[in-house]
Amino acid sequence: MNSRPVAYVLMAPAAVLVTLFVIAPVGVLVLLSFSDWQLGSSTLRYTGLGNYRQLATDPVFWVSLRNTAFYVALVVPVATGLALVAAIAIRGAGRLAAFYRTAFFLPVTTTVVAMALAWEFLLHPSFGLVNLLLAEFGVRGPVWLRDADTVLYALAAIGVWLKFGYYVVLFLAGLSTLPTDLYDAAAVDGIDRPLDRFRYVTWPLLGPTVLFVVVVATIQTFQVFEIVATLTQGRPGRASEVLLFTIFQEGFVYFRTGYASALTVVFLCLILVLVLAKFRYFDRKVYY
Amino acid sequence: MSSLSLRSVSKRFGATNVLNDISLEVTDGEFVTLVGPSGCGKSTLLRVIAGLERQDAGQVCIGARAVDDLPPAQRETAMVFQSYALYPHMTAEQNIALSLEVRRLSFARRLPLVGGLLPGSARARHAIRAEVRQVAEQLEIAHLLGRKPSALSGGQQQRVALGRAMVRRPSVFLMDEPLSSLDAKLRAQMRVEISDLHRRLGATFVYVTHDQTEAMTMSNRVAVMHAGRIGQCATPVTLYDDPATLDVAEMIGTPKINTFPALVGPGGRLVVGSLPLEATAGLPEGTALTIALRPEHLVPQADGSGLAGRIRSIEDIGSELLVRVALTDIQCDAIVRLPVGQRDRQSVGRAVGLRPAPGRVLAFDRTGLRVPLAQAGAAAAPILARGAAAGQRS
Repeated sequence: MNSRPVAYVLMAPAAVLVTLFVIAPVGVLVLLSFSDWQLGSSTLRYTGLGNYRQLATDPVFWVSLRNTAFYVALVVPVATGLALVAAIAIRGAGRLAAFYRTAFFLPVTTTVVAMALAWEFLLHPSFGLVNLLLAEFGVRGPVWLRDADTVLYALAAIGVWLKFGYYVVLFLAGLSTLPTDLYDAAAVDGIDRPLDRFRYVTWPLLGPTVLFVVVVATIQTFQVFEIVATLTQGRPGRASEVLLFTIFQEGFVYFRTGYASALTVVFLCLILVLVLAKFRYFDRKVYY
Repeated sequence: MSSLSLRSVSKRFGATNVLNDISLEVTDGEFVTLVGPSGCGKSTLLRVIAGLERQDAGQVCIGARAVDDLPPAQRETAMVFQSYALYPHMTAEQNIALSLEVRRLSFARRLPLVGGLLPGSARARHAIRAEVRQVAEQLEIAHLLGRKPSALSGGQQQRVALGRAMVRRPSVFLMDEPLSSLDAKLRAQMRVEISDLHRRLGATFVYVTHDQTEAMTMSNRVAVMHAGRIGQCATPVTLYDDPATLDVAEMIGTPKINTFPALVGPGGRLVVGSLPLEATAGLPEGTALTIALRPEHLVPQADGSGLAGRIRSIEDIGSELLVRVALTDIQCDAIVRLPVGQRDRQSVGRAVGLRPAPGRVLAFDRTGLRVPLAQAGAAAAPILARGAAAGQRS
C-alpha cells in the first residue's frame, strides 16, 4: 500500500505554518541583512556585506555580546545547579513535594514585566527589601540596577529566579525515569550516603537530562530581553546592554532594519550552534 | 556465614497486609527458596531481609544479631535483582568493584585524579582489582570485565550481577527472581550454576521465584507463600509428597495436582462420586472434603473399574504421556501421567477407569488444611485374603 500521499496531506498543515512563520521570515531576514532598508521606507539598496562589516567594528555589538555571554555564564550554572539541588530535595520531601514544586514553578507562569517591576522595588537602593536586609547586618547595599558593577549580577539573580522553577520541573521529570532498582542495589552495596548516591547513581544516569536542561537554559538565557527593557534599558552606560536589546533598539527605535537584521542573523547563528551541538552530543551520548 | 531468622514479621502497604506474621529459620549455609504466585509478598519479604523495606512488626536476625535498625549495607547481605540493576555507565569491572571501593576507600580517595595521589590508595585499589578478577574468573567473565552492561548479553549481565554480590563475601545472598528474564535454555544452565555456586561458597541463600521448577531443583528447603503467609516450609520432596495445605499442593508439581470433591461416607470412608476409596478419615459422615492426587498416582484399570471417564487428549512429550481424562461420574477433568510404554494402549475417545494408587490420596478440609487419612481395612482385606489364600494353597 502506498501511504505517501496520505503522509504529505498529514504533513501539510505543519509544513505550511512552519514555512509561513519560520522559514520565510528567516529568509527575508537574511536578505534584509544585505540591505540598508529602514522600517517603513519604500526603497532599499543592496549593500552586500556592509552591515556585517559595520557590525564587526561596532563597539556596541561587542559590548552587547560580552554582556550577554557574561549573563549566560552567570545564570545557566546557577539556575541549573540550584534546580538540580531543588529537584533532588523535592523528591525526598514527601508530602510537601507538591507545594515546593508549585512554589518554584510559580515565577515561570507570571508576566515577566510585572515581576521585573516587583524586583525593581525589592532592589530599590533606599527602601528596597534587599538593601534593608543588608542594612540589618550593617552592610550598605549598592544601587543594584544603576551601578555598572552590580547591574548584570542583579539582572542575573532575577533571571535565575524567573527560570529555575522550569528547570526544576525538567529535572523532576528526568529523576522520575531513573530505575529505583539501581538505588536499591546501591543501598545494598553500601552507597547509602546522599553524596555517594548522587555521585555514583543520580549524576551519571541523569547526564542526558542535565545536558538537555543546560542547552535549553543556555538558549533561553541568551534571549534575555524583557527584564533589561523594563528595568535598565541597557544602562548605566552600556553595562547591561544585551544582544536582543541591541537588536530591538537598532530595529525598532532607530529603524535601521537592515543592520538589525544582520545582528539577528548573528544571534540566530549562535543559537544554531548550540542546537546543533545538542543534537550531535545527544545522538552520541546515549550509552544506555 | 550466618543463619537468618525471621520472627513474626508483618508488613502493611496501606490497607493490605503484604506480610502476615511470617516466621522462618534459615540455618547457616542453607538454600531456602520463597516461592508463590505474584503478589504473595515474597519479594517484599526479601526486601525486608535486605533492609530496603522496614517491617511494621517482628524481628529480622542475621547470625545472632538483630538487624532491624541497620541500613542495608551493614547487614552483610548481598542482593541480586531481577533487572540485574547494574550501573549502566560503568564497566563490568567497575560494577563489581564499586561496593569494595566504597567500603575500603574514603570519599577523598575515591575522587578521580586526586584520589589516586593519596597515600595507600594505590595499594587498596590493587587489592580490589585482584579480588574482582578472582570473582570474575570463578564466574568465567574475566574477559568481559572491560565491557559496559549494554554490551553484554542477559546471561553475562546476570553473571556480573552475581559477581557484584559475591565480591563482598556476604553471609547471606538474597536473590529476587534472578533468572526470570533469561530464556529457557540459559535459565536451566544458570540454575545449575547457582546451585554450584551455593555449594562452593557455603553461604546462606534466600532465593525468590515464582517458578516452582527453580524452587524444587535448587533448594534445600522451599517456603511456599500465599497471600502474605508461609503455607509450608519443607524440603522439595516433602512439599511434593506431603503438602500441608491445598495451596501448597496446587503450587508445587507440573502438571498441577488433580483435585476432586469427596465426601466422608459410612465408617469414615472417603467416597468420590460413587467410588469408595481405600482411605478413611476420622470425620463425621457427610463431611465434604477435597481430595488431591498427583498425575502419576491415578492408575488406569485394565478391567475399566474405578472412576469412569473418557480420554479427551493425549500429550506425548517423549519421555512420558500426559493424558487428560474427562471423568463422567464427577464432572471433572483429570490429568494422568503414564509411561511411554502405554503409548499404543491409549487413544483419544477411549473409555477408561481410574483408581488412586494405594496410600497416595491427599485430603484437605474446607479451609484447605490437610486431613490425615488411614488405609481402609475393607479395601486392604481382599488383597490380604487373596495372599493368604495363595499361601494356603502352596
